Amino acid sequence: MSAKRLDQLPNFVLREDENEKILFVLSSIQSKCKAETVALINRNGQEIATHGQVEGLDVQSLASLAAGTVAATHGLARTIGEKEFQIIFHEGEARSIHITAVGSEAILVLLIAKKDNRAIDPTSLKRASMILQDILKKTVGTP
Amino acid sequence: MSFINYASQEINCKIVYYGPGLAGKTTNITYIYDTANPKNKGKLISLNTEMDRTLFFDFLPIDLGTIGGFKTRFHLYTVPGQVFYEASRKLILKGADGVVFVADSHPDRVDANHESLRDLKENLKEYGYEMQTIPYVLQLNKRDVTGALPIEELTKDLAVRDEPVFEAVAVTGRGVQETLKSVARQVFTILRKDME
Repeated sequence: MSAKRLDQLPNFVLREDENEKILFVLSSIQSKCKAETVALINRNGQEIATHGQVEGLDVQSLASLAAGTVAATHGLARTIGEKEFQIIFHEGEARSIHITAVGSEAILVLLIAKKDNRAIDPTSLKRASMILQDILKKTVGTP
Repeated sequence: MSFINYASQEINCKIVYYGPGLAGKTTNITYIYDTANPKNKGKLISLNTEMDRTLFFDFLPIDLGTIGGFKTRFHLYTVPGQVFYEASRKLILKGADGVVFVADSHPDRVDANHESLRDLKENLKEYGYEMQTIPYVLQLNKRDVTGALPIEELTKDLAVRDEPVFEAVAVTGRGVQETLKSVARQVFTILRKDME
């Protein structure tokens, strides 16, 4: 890759209509997977959009650590010949975190009560991931 | 590459504190956290080893005013300084809007400073950044140690362009805010230009 000036690298700009489209997808996923909260996060650890219960939830920390988890497991995936893990699941006693890759630039994070772990619908998540990738492609710059 | 969110009227920027192990990167972030107005800061996250060495990163979100009505939130990250965490450093550097290089003024740390700076240059280049134009500050930390190398010598040795250079004793807060303000000012300049 040839070096560029920083001010030649595009910022990621999220406009209101794109934000609404993203929130619609997140809302649909929340309902289908019975998630408490659904968050779309860029790979740099910044929250793009969140839907669901956010009261008492430190979304910034969640975003940073979820992106960190994906980045850290990237190397682990490569040790077994995988490019990356498309899904990462952390099961807690009361709540779990389900992470899905959204292309190469974002991740979808679901917070799920343990009783609803089985409600996770991989087909819906895969479809949502593709729709979100399409929306993000139309935004200015890279998330 | 900042994230400009029109829906929430926020701009998110990423600043990475780079440098050799034990140079004081975490101490910088901790001081900023301890002295920031609680309304303007998020939680400080430190992923440490049992020996209090940074394992993956420290993370602190902090609000630093507005540009054109947008609240600007800076995400401050440190990288693990120890040589063997090269992969982590590279990952954390991804998407950075500005970099602070925290150098150690102790005479025994000359080689460690060089190695870390070389590592930074290589990683920035791999991500497509140019060292000559990225918002960048050189902080000469630990000015209080016995036998600290002279400022002129360290600056000549470690400066990569005409970047702002600050003397610091991060444990007492000396030079910490000045360093952050300087790199933030450079990021603001680029953002203002982008938003015109």
